[in-house]
Amino acid sequence: MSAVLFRDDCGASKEAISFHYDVGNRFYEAWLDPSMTYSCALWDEGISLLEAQHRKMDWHLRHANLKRGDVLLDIGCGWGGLMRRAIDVHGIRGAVGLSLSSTQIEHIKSLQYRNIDSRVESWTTHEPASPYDAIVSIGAFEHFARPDQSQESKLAGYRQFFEFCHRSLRPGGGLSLQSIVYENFRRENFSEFFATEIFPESDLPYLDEIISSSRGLFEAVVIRNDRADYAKTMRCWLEKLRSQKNALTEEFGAPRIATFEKYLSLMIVSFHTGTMNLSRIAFKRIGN
Amino acid sequence: MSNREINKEGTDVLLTTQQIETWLTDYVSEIIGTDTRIESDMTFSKLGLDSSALVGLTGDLSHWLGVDFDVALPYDHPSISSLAVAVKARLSTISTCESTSPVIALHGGTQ
Repeated sequence: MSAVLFRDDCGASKEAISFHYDVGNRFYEAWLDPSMTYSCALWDEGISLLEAQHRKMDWHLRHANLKRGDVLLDIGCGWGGLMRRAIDVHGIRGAVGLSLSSTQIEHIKSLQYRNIDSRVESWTTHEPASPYDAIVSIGAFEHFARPDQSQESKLAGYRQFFEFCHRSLRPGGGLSLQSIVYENFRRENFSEFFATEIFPESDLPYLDEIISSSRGLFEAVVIRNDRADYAKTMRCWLEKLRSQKNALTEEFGAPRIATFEKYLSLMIVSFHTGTMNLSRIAFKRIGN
Repeated sequence: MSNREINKEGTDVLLTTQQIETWLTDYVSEIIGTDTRIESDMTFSKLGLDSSALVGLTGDLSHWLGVDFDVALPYDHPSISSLAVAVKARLSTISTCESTSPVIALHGGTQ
């Protein structure tokens, strides 16, 4: 039942997520920063990509109002960089991480953090043992709707997400989100290349769709749009990918490398020209 | 490959804006066909080049000159003439400021 619910209402399937993220950890290790963070950094003058990724993690952990001794839920936890930062630097008691990518969860388990519980599980089926103190979700909302869904169904799926977060958080708990959003984008610009070769079954939200879906459940406390930060992050990835092009081509094949070069290039253009944006939104849970 | 020889001879930085414009015009006409008259001040968008084509153009331009150009460059300079000026300006910057870069290191004899 829950699997049917997930497929019909809440975005990309596990197979669709695997298509992009389960290429192999070695592939992503080659061109991401050492924390294996595959989402937009938060840049500042004169800092490295790793520092900018840590700065981004700290921004979300602070804006989710996470305190020493708290328990965090990370929805779309990737390779676990945020949870590790929360434990190592912010001193939280524990973290639960959800991802639909088996290779990501394998990687996190191999790190053997006693207080990280990482699971191949969707938020749509997750049942918290007890309410969390904070929730962070970075780079997952992009997969919560499919292009073939009606507008009504898309918004219903987003609403379900906020309802899940509301019932999974203690009163006063914080939620910090980060997602790519459509900005100055027209439907006719929708790219088949992305839909078939990069992120199948995934449609992006508009910022106002995220906000309206949270109405009555969460108060948006801080909103910032940082598309220039994503263009810069992706320029770093592209440069690193190209610097190892021969070795990566040998290991993963020329078509895959060409596809990723094209994908990163087109995304850089989208962020540079403003057809897409990168939203970071800090919410506070409403009610008891 | 002749492009590489151009670099080794150090003639890339000596290319004129007009030569870059000619390269771009030839490149665009190969994509859109020679039936369409190409004015150098027409926007790439008006010429019918989509984002994939422009990403390809920037890659091939980088390969030709042995210099990495940012993929967004044709969006900030959206016609053949304005892009040629920007490319020329970038080449001139390299020749004076980045003398340690591999491409320019090959130009030692000309500096």
